[in-house]
Amino acid sequence: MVFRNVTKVFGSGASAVRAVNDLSFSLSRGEFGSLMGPSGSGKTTVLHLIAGLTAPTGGSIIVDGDDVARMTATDAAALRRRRIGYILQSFNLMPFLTAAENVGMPLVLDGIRQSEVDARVAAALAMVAMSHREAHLPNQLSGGEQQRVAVARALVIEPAIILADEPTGNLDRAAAVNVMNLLRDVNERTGVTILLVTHDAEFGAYARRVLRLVDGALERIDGIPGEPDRERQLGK
Amino acid sequence: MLRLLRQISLRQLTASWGRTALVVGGVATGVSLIVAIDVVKTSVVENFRRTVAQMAGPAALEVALGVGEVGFDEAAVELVRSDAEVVAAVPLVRGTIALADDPAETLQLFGADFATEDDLRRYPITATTDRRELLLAVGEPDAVLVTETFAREHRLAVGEQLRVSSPTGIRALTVRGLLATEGLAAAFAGRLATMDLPAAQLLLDKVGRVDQIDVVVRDGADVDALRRRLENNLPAALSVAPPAQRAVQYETMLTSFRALLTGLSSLCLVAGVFIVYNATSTGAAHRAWTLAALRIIGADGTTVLRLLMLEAFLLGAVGAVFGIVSGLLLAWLLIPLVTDSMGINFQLRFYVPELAIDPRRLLVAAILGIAAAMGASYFAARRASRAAPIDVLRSDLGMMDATAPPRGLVWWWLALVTLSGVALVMQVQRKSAAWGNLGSSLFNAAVVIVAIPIAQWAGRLVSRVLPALSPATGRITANSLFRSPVRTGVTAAAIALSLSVSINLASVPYSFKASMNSYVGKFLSADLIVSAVATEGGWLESPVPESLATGIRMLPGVAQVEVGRVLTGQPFRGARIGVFGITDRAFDPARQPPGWYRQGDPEKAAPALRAGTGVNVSTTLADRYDLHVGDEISLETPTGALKLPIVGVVPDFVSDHGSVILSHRLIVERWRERNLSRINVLTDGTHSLDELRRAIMERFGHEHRLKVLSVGEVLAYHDRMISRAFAFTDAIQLLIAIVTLCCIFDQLVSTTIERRRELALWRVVGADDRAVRTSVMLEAATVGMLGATLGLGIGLPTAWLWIKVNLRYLLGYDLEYHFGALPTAISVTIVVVMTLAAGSAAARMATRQSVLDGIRSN
Repeated sequence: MVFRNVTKVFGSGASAVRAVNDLSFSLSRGEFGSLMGPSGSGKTTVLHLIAGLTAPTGGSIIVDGDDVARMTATDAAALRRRRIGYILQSFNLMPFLTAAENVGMPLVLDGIRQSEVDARVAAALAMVAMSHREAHLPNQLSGGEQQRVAVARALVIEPAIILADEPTGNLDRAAAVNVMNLLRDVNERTGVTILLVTHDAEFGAYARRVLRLVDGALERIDGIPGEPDRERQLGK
Repeated sequence: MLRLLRQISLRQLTASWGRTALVVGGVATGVSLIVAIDVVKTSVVENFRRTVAQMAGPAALEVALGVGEVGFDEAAVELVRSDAEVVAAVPLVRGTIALADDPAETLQLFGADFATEDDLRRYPITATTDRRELLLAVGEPDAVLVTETFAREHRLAVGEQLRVSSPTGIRALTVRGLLATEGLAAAFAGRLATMDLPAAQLLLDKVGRVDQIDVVVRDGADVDALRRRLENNLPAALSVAPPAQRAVQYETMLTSFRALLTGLSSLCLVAGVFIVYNATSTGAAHRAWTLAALRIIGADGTTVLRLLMLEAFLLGAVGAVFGIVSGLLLAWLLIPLVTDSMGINFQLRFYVPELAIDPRRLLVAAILGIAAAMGASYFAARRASRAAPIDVLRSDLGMMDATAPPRGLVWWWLALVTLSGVALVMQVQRKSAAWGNLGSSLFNAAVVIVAIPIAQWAGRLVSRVLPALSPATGRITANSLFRSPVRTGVTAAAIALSLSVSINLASVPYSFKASMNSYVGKFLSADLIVSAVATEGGWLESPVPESLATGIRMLPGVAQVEVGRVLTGQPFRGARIGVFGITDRAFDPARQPPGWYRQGDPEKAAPALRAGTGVNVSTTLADRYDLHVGDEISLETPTGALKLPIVGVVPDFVSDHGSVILSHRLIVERWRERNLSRINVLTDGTHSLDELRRAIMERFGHEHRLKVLSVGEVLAYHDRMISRAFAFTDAIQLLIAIVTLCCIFDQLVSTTIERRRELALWRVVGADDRAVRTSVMLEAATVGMLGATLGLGIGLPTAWLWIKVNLRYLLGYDLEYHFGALPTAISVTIVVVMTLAAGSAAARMATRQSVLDGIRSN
């Protein structure tokens, strides 16, 4: 995933807000990265841009070889169904669907045969250790369990990248640690690229590279020492 | 898509079953009323056709004069028989007789020549009595055959007496035989009786006259040539036509009434579409979060749109099924009301023993309902499919519907109103009820559109007024109300439409009654009015003999009598009009209310009218046929064409197609008709009205079933008839009101749910239950007032349009417009009560919500 000179401006004229300001960074395949920064620094907007939920004002966003910035809304939706798993702070599970049905929904949207849906759902729930709760509704699950189901939903499509927007924000500490361990485990076992947005330094440290944003711009990167400074190269 | 339907739609629709029921109910309402009115129309027409066809029997041609009120010389029968191509010429007399003890129970009496058995066997009437017994009936003046159904209901056996009221008075008939209730007898729902021709002529006071000659021709005969020969040989007043043509004439008579029913069903469809639009809009707002979550995980806008449209299709289909079933039930319930209304309008008895159900037409209604559901849902579905999912997930539920109204609504409104005006002009120019219906539908649709910018405009005003009234709650309430002018405007439009329909439907009978009061109370003034208790089918009483007037004149206390005879089925230029003959004194200019003559001078008209050298015509007739004072009018009578100049154009309510008012002497001389419809009695003041009434009943009551009424009682009689005529509109109005109430309730409750977080936050900072209740009630009251104001603003002018323009072409009567202050006040009160009741329920719900749950709610 490559972010190159991306800018996002909301509004116009005197009330215009530059949520993302000429941002450039990249994530290698299988990498676990995190975006950190104070409130209003543009972290969530970056995820929205990658997922094609909003279009950039300028720049390009390459995900798995395709420029999301130039996609139509239909193509962006297909991208989210097939290659981008999205985990939100408030879980966003449909309250009237069981855990299994919630997990399988992206596959159903993609028209996958029900037998294949069932098999892949079972595998995804097993990966997050929620097989025993597949028939439960969200209101019958704890916060941590709901978030695990949300992770399974992101995994079931065998994504190229998982975007996690404050996945621990609504959880108690123990549950939050559980979910973060799960994400790390998934990254190590499956090699899926993960980009995590968090304001918690402890959870940010789960990532291999931490990108710090302030006012929509990259302030610094904390990563493995000795790695080339990719972001500055991209920005040029 | 089916999986999404099962997993998403079905569960969500089941969870919010109330709103789902509202959508289904909205579709069902529109479809049921369309089905009911269509089935009623079809059943009446089908039964009409069947009756006319069965009455015609094997006849290739029918000879008749109008609808057979006065009959024509029976010498015509021999003239017809003398033609070589004629196998049989079957003379018939027809009339309505009532049971002496129960004047509401009537029989259609047919008099036929029993001696010509072969001729009679051609007709679909089956006698179940032994033939020898029947032959005994020949020549007996009191022998009658009734149907088995009638005999069973009245516990009559062969040989028993049946007392009836007829134009010649109360008579005792003897049941000589029974008829199977099939064929023609079934078409009259068993209310059919037959007598030998001479006996029937005597009973109906038509000695020497017949009403109809059925002409049976030889196989292979040239019917058209025969028709032309008969027309040449018979008096010009008689019509010679195939029975089917008579059926067409009767159906034409029903055209305007059917147009009225069609107009009502169109209005109901508009109401149904509107309710579905409202419910789906609210539903889409509540499901916005789910739909946004679907979009996040990869559903595209097209998938969401297709899913919502598929839901609309299915809900529409379910609603259509319910609508068809309830429509058939409603038709069965409405038939008696509608046939009663038609009887009052057309002075004929309509029988509809069974519903005529055409599956193809039901399918059309179902398709219409489904299309309406999909059309009404489309805008909400499109909005939901285009909403940015991240904006939705972030938003307060109450902000989701905070859409600015589309631009150009005022231009759309102007366009619709202009089109409605064009339709109105077309209605007047072409005298077409269909254009009137189109105009009304367009105007009602315009109400919905203009409500939105009005709500927006009102929002600016109310936003200043409400905080001034209540600083704490006013600001919050105003913000909630006008955050979404579309939603507020649509709710106000629902109230306005409901109120407007109520005002229109209430004003019509009100104006009718007031117009009749002017007509009867001023123009036909008398101390007592004497007439038969039985009627011909509507308000017009059965005729009484002239001798009754002579006898009443001789009673002590009677200064003078005036007589009137109404013939409602006179042929005129292919249509059926009324002829009203009245005593010369009624033309006295001093008795005409100011402005009564729309054209002509009462002073100049009176001498011509009294002399029988001129006639008045009704405004309806003048309007329909472009007639003016000075024009000559030609009427077909049994004694030849009567051609007289028009000397005045006046209001008249005898016939929906128009009427001619002339001297009663002309009725006697030219129509050879001596029976009377009503006898007006003027007293000399020596006896009280009650004494005179008693004297009349004592002297004549055992011979005739009479009613003797004061002017006030006659007005009350007409009031009751008019109320009966419009009773079926009350049912429709009630249905629309109930569904509108559900719509308003849903809207207000939804608003409360959407404001859950806002109200919870308000309570966190200190607002108590009273403040919350006040806010919700204030919102309901404001929407109610907005709707009521709009409703009055729309309802009053449209009521005038309905009465002065639409009804002239729908029902044929030129009414005075009278503003029904009382019915309007009642309608407004009902609307206010409905809105406050809905607001009260929403307020109760608002105060019961947990504060913490409200803060956390999304």
